[in-house]
Amino acid sequence: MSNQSESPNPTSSSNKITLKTSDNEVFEVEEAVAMKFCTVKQYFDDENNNNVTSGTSTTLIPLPNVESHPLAILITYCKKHLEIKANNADNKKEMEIDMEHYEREFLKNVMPQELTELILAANYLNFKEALDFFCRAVASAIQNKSVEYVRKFFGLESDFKPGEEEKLREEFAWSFEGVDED
Amino acid sequence: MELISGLPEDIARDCLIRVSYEQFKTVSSVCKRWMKEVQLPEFHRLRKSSGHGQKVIVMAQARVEPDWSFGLMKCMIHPAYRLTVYESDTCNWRELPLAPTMSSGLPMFCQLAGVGMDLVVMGGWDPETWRVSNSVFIYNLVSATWRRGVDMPGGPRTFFGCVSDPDGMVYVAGGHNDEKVALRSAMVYDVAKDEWAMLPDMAMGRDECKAIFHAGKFHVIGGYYTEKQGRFERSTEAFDVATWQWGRVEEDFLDDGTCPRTCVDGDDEAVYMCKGDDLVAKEGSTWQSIAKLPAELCNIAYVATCHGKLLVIGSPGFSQPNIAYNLELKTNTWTRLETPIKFSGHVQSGCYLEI
Repeated sequence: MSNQSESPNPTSSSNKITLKTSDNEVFEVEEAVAMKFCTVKQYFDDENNNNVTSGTSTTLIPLPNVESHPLAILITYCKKHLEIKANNADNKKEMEIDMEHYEREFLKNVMPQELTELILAANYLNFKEALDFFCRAVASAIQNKSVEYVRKFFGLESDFKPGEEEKLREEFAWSFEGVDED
Repeated sequence: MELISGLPEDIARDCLIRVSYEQFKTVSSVCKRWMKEVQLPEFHRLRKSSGHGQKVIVMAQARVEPDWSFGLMKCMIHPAYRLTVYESDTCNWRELPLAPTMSSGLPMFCQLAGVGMDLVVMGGWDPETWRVSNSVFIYNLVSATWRRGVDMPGGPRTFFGCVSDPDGMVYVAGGHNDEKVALRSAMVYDVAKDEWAMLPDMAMGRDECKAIFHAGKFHVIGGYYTEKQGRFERSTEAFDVATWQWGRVEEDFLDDGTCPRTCVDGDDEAVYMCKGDDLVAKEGSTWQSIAKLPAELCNIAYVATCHGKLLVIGSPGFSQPNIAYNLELKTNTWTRLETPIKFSGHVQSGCYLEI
């Protein structure tokens, strides 16, 4: 069902949909963007089915589980995502390269705490591409990093006994070579 | 305790299944909860079913020693073998650590089989004493640790065929004993239980045979019996696990009496092998050329199937660096892979794993 929204027809894409966050901020977004949020799309479709006679929809869609801060970031990400897709409609490889480039830049401006917020928002909105991207971002926070860095990043503390920790270090001694600096 | 602070467990798991396999030991070292997580079978099931499993070929490959005095790269006469990994998704190569007891390298001519997250290293010659070893070493790719398995039963055996099935079993057949007598015997190793069981004997001794798991059966291809030293048979026989019996010998399976070591099972219905300048496939009763081998691949060292592709490693000539190529089986198109000089050594054996 999300496939339909990937190629929005030009007339409907100019329609705006209003989203209201838990902190009472109101966002007016293009329909094509809002339709990437499956939760919104579902709400929108249900409303339209119930109000077939009411003509143009002026629905305000409440998002009681999403705050304005992550929503704003998700909207930006979504717009860019659609734009890159449209620009490379016939070249999947180019699209992937552009997307990768954008995502790398994007992550430079995201703090670890924000990542959790964004994942929860993307999950609630059922915005699959973003959820996949943020989960990958979390996984890549571990890539080539020291154990200490990973603990700090995720706010976790070691619960190994001193002896156990030493044993792990010994077993994995070789694996602590070649890690990036924290 | 939450897996990742602030995230529901299923989403936290969705994050961790995307971690690259070589980071598993980092994940395991963070805390007990994370260590337990990456060891859960469910974690790995989810990782594979959601398409995040990494498809790799693990190889017993010669260490390349740069010989700068001649300005050339030359392999030593007795190269040390180590474990290398080719990652098919990223085209990266890396090296795996050997067991602490393998300071002189892997046993020469050892065989590899992949079962779940375990890499099984079997037999070969001790690189220092040249004695035939029946040892079984298992490397777990999640915990990044080595353990010993029960030795292969039945006395010394080298140049046997060996392959794993999808159910965690490793099959071994043929080869020769320490008196150079070709062996008819075959056996199976249950990696999880660490137990060996003998199979009924094959119809004939098969030294230097090739084993593949194909169409649900354990196939032992070619090889030669004692009196025929080095003159390879064209026949094959297959063991049906369900009936616990060998089928009748298929006499003319191979076109020529050649060494069968490049034979591999496709993920499809076919068996593939290198023959002269061609890559040939047998689907049904006849072998057919499906592609010309790239001109650089004169001496084929190793062939493996990897998720709809064939990995073919070979060199233009003796003691020259090996180069890897991919053949896309849908389109029969070759791709020359970036092969770092460090990973251009001779390949003796290998296996496919999805981690």
